[in-house]
Parts: sequence; structure tokens; C-alpha cells
Amino acid sequence: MLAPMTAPQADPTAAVPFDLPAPRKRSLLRDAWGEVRATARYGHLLRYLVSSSLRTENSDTVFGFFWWVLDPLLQMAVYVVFIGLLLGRGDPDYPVFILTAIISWELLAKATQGSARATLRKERAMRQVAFPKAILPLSEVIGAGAHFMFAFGVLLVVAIPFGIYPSAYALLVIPIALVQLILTTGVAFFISALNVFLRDTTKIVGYVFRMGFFLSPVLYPVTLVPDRYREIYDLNPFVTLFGAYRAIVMEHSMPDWSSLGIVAVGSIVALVLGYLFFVRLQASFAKLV
Amino acid sequence: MSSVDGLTDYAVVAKDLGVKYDLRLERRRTLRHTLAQIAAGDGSATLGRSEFWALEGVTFALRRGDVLGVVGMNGSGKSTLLQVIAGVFPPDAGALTTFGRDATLLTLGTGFDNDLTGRENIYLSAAYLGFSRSRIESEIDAIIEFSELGQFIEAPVLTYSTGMRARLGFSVAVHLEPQILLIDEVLGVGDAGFQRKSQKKLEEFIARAEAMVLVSHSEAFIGQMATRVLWLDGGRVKRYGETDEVLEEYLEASYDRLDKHQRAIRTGRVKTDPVKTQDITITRVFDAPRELVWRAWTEREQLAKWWGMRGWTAPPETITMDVRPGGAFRVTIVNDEDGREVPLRGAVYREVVEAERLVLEETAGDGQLEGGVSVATFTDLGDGRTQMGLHVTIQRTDEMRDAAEADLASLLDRLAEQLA
Repeated sequence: MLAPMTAPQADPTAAVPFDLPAPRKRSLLRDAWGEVRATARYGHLLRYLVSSSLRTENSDTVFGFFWWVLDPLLQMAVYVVFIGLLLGRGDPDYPVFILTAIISWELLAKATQGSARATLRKERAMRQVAFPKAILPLSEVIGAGAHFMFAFGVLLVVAIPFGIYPSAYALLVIPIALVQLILTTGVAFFISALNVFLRDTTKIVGYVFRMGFFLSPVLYPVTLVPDRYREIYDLNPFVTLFGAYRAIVMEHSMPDWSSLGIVAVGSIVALVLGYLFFVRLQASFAKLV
Repeated sequence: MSSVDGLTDYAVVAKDLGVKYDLRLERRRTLRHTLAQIAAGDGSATLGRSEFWALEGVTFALRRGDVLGVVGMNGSGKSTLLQVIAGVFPPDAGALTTFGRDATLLTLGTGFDNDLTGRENIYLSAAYLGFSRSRIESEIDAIIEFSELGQFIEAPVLTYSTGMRARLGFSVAVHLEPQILLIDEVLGVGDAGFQRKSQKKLEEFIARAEAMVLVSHSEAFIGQMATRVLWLDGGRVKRYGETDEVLEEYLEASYDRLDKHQRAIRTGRVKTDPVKTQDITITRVFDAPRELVWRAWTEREQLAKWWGMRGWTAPPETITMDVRPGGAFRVTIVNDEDGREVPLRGAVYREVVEAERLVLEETAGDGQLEGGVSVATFTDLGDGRTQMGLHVTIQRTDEMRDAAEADLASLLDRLAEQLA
């Protein structure tokens, strides 16, 4: 009596008395567009993740919110002491010169490293809930962007004792930072997706960034780079970005719009490629983390 | 498409559903590992077709109002099935549809952030589940109240005990009421009181939800809740059908040494109904003088000759009886076939009226049903026969009442045989 029932069932499909429409063929572009729309629907989660992480990141420290000011200033102080005082290099406004680049570099570093950690740290949520995973790197980029805008304000104040007063040019930080955010988001998508599959990514990225820090004109002016390397050197988008920030803060002049335009186009390409890479891999996140 | 109209009756349909794990990617977690594999000449395995189907050819159709219970051993693909229905990842083969309804996996503490307070985590968790802020705000008071966290709701989740976390998680999940609820082993949260409350809340939920899929290792829970059962074995459907049939077979395979009664208890069919006060009255006439019947009840050696349902005996050495008000009564019965010993619940004599009336009250043990009261009356019919009335009041479900009545009848049958 029980034997025929326990045998592998004769026709399991009989349980479904109709046909389901065949699933649409998966295409990366269609998936990516679907993800963009889903992400837009989850704006509420994005806002909440950003605000809660900004609120809690320093909540267990004595200085708390003060670290928003202290972080860039102490970083600046390290290099000012080392290069300005010990090596006796740099102009009088050297602290402003490096702080301008440091806060911009921090935006990149904070956003990408935070994104790489986020895709691992939120693994429980990823395994339980169907939410657009792009929210995770995006929230890190936005958080880092908030830090940057705050630090930019600090920079304008710090510059005053050096005889550099804020001007209307400072408002141009918005388009410049926007270009950098686009670039940063692309990098963050790429690195956070890769890190799920290859946990060495964060370590490798740490060293790449440290090298990038010295290969970018943070601590020295581009004029220090020998002319024959300049063509290659200028391919680094941060040459243009730092130049643009310094122009509006220190020189009260327009940034180099043409090279900024090229960087903007390159950043958009980086964002699209990084996002496609992320979307391609994200379906597997929940299976791997 | 045989019937398009019929589609509206369905809530979740899966056809030849498959989910694949790519071991290639899974393994390549660190560079060292990958390099080591390639160096060991295992490059082809690393780069080759090593994949694993966690689910394969899974087909079922849930109508609205159905509750699907999923059973199977660990690693049989139960949780993967819930994840794919919840949309955590897309199917790699076949098709699955919920006809546009949202399906939410009820797990405890979705996306909780330890640094945030309980209240903030309610918002966060709900945001992950895709609920709007206004929806959360309308529910938040109910969620907090249900969680019984009181003022701790303003403390970081970091400071919570496991039980507190679980209570909060459960509370969030059931209050947001997705159209299709997916449950993965979440019962048994909190103390007995909270468990009763959660069970009730889930039952309310089921009454409203479109459909539900639940994974549990508790066959009793599945037996109680599910309208259909899917038995997974190694990612494939072993059986799919009516709860009673599939569960019976599953238990047969899993616990083939359990007898039918124990299976009935495991599948929860004994517990399905609400427990209430049940009265059982049995009247028997024994062809024996009243003194003899009285002694059969009150002397250890006599009781040992007949006590126990058919197939069971109570050896005199297992019987403790102190026949006076406040005295104890305790028996262990032994199965005639396999020698299994089952201690019965103890009782206390409340009234002892020589040859007339005997009242026993079960002692209520820890976590057990309230003790029942048995009243035995003995009437001399004058012709050498004795009429015995047995009136039992117990807290049982309807089904358990029938079982108890049968047991008592069986007991008295044996007494009759003994006295004859």
C-alpha cells in the first residue's frame, strides 16, 4: 500500500494544472535596469542606513561627533609636521594645500572601504530579504559624501588664518564633488562586489590606495613631476580633481573645465561598468556570504 | 494555459524550480586558496563545471489560503526554497511566481544593527522588508507592546539577551503582515507565555494571509498548521500532497520505530483542538460483590492484577498507594510486548469512603495539563453484582478525550475480566 506512494512520484507536474509563462531570458542590461528601479523604491532604506550609520559611527567615542572635524585636521597635522617642519618644504599655505586633497582622497577611501565591508557585514540581511543590494555601497558613498561636505566647510574655515578667504568659487565644489562621487560610486560597486568573492580584496585595495595616495598630488604640486612622466601622470583623475578643488579654494579661479569634463565622462563610464559588474554578481551574494 | 480564471485561485506556483550553487565561486574565497588549487593541478575543477543543485525539479501549486509545510533532513533544500520564494535570489531553472504578491521571510531580527536601539531597529528592519515609514509608524506601538520590552526599547540591541532580540524580531515580522508569509523555524521564542501569544498571533495571521510556507523540524507544528506538505530530499521532491499522508510517510521513514500513537502526538493531531474541561462518565456492572470490587481498587496486590490498558500491566512493585485522604497514588505501567515502562501521572486520594466512594486528583506536574479528578462510586445491587460509576473530569482536547475514554473503558474491561 505504501510502496507506490513512496516511490518517486509518477508525475510531479500534475500538481500544476496550467503552464507558467516561460521566464524571460536573463539579460544583464535588463537586470541592471530592474535593479535601478528597485533601488529607487528603497530610498527609505537608503536614507535610514545612511542616517543610522552616521549617528552611530562615533557614538562610543569620547569626542563623538567632533571626530568629523578632528579626522581631517589630524591627518593634515601629521603631514604638516613631517614635510613642512622636519623637511622644511612647502609654502606658508601648505597645510591648506594638503588638506584640500586629503578630504577629497578620504571621500574615495572611506566610501570604497566602507562598501567592501558593508557587503560582508550585512550578510544576514542579504540572505533573508530581497532588497536591492546596491543600497549597501550607495549608503556608504553617501555617508562618505556627507563627511566630505562637512570637511569642506572645515577646510574653508582653516584656510582663513592663512589669508585665504572663502569666495563664491567655493560653490563650485558641488559639480566637482559630483564628478568625484560618480567615480567613487563606480569604484565602490566594483570593489564591494569583488570582495564578496575574494576576501583578499580589502587588503589589496588598502595597499593600492596607499600607493595611489603618493602617486596623486596630495602632498606635492604636480609641477614636481618630471615633464616626461606628465602625460601618464595626468591620466590619474585625481590630478584633475585636486587641481579643481585647489583652484576654487585657494586660487579663487575656475577649475579646468575641459579636463574635468573628460574626467566626468570617464567617471560615468566607470559607474556604468562598476554597476554592471555589481549587478552581474549580486544574485550570488546571498549564496556566498 | 488551461484556465486563466483559475489562476486567481493560486498564490504560489513553482514548476521545475531549480537553484544552483556555483562551487567554483564559493570556493574561491581567498587568493591563496585559488592559487593553491591551481598549483595543485586542480585548476580544471576550480574553473570547471563544479556546481551543485540545492533544488531541482521542484513543482507545487499553492492556492490562496493554503499553508505549505516543508519537511526534510538538514541540507535537503528547505531554507533555499524559502529564500527563492522570498526573491533573495532568482531561480536558476524552471519558473516560480507569486502572482505579484510580496513574500516575506519571517526570520528573527532581519538586518538588526546592534548599535541602534530597539525602536530604531524596528524602523531599520521594516525598511529592509520594504515597508514605508508611515506603515511602520502606524504599527510601532503595537510592535513594542507585543515585544514586552518596555523601557528597554530605547536601549541598544547590543544589550539585549537572545530572548529579547528574538521577541523584538518576531514582533516586527508578524505585525507587518506580508501577503505571503514564509517561516523558517522561528517558534519556540521566549517563555511559555510569549510562545502562546506568538502562536495565537500566527494563527490570526494565517486567517488573513494569502498563503504561507513554513519550514520546521517540529512535525507537530507542521501537522497542526499545514494544509499541504512538501517533503524534500536532497533538493528534490520526495512527496507532495495532503498533510496527513505525506507527514505520515515522512515520519514512517524518519521514525520508523515510533508507534502510531506517538506519531499522532508528533504530528500534533492529538493537540489540534483547544484544550477544555472534559467529563467522562462510565457505568459498569460487575458480577462480583461490592467488597471485592472495592478491594480491587484499594489493595495493591489486587490492583496490580488489572490496572493498565489492554497490552499493558502494572507490576505490584511499581505501585505506590496510600489509601487515605492526602495519600499518594503512583503507578508505572509496562508494555507487554517490548517491556517499555511508562510512569503515569501521580495522584492524591481526596476522599476515601469505605466501599462507597473514592476520589482521586491528579497532581499537576510542571508544564503539564491541569490535574484531572476521578470519582469512583460503588453501589451494591443486592444480587451479588456491583454497579460502579466512574466520573472523570480532565483538561483535554476533544480528540484526547476520546482516547482517554477508550483507555478507561479498556481499564474497566480488564477489571471485569479479573473479577469474573
